[in-house]
Amino acid sequence: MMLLEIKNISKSYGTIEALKDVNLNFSGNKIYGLFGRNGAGKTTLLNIISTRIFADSGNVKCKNIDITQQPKAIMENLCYMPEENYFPKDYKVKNILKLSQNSYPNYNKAMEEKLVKLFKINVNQKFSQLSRGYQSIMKIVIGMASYAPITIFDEPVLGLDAVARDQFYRILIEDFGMNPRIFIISTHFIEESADLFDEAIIIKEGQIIRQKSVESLLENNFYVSGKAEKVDEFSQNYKVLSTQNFHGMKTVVVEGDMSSIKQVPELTFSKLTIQKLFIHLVGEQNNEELL
Amino acid sequence: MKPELDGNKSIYLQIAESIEDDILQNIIAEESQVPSTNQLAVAYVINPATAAKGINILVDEGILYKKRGIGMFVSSGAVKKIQTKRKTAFYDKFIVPLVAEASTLDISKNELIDMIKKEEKK
Repeated sequence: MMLLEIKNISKSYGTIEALKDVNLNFSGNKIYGLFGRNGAGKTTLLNIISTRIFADSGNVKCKNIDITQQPKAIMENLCYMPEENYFPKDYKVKNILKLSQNSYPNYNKAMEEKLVKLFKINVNQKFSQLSRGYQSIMKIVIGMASYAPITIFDEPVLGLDAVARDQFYRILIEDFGMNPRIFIISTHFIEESADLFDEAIIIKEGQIIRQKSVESLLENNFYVSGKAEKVDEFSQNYKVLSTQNFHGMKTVVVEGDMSSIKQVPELTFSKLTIQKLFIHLVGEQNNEELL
Repeated sequence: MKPELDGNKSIYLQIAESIEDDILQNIIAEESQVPSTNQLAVAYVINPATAAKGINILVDEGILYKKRGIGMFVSSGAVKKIQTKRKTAFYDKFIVPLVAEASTLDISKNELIDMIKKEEKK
């Protein structure tokens, strides 16, 4: 039975279509990465999953139950840590932790204590006095300790330094290995977090343009570079995603599996990084020509 | 074990190669246990499924085998197997780029052979 299933979701704000016919399957206990530019619809999607807002059409099912009809079906399985802060501002950290313990049925106090110690959190501070980074850390602590079957983080590493981001990634992997659950994590730090995910979901202008493993995404595109006429000759049989010219040398990004091509002398083939691929997929076409 | 993975090659292939390197260098001996999927995932901060994919390549090739309920072990004869496999790849991986670069630098065949002999004497 599918724990979470999204079918034909659309949502508009006035004339702006935030989501257009979105379909997603969360087929098992996996770590899902949600990638998209600002305004692509990530937060709208997460807000619909968590029943904070409702879609105009389509449905979200948790264990086959439509959550629009029965929000409880998802709420008892979910911990959603949104990007904006929703904790009462004048609460002390320890009170927010107490509140969280009472909110999530699988909450694990030992995990909370471990993370409070790891991140050196002062539990007597007021939430409003925490730095941006520590406000993110609070969400990481509660999300991890919730042990909710569906744990969602919207931009969990915002404002965190490189050390703290690495600590979060390590904790996530360590705990996921022992206690698998569905994690949905939206982030702009694609390159450094890419290896964490079972699947990458790429959203562009309200539409899901990819849902597959990072590995298979990367296997589906490659760079070809060399003398312009040689590159053109090669790439005429491929779909070209972008073109860059530099001193008579040409580099194109094409769609296809690099391992299946025959090497051609005078041409260089190489893999894209996930960040570059993302930019090619969701950015403006041929944006490098402008440089 | 490699201290860090790089972006030039699929992560699961790097996991498999890194274990092979350890076996070739006798860091992990035949018939001894290799790190678990979860241990590898934590060590490299990668998804456990990716680590498992790397391990499974080696299982399919008979380099590792599973002891039920205990974990993954290095097969006896694994060193020989890895050597045979890598010898096949040696030509494409080392000789082709070596000759290509030598040709770009106008290094003659004899010079190249002399260099190899010189390196062997060390």
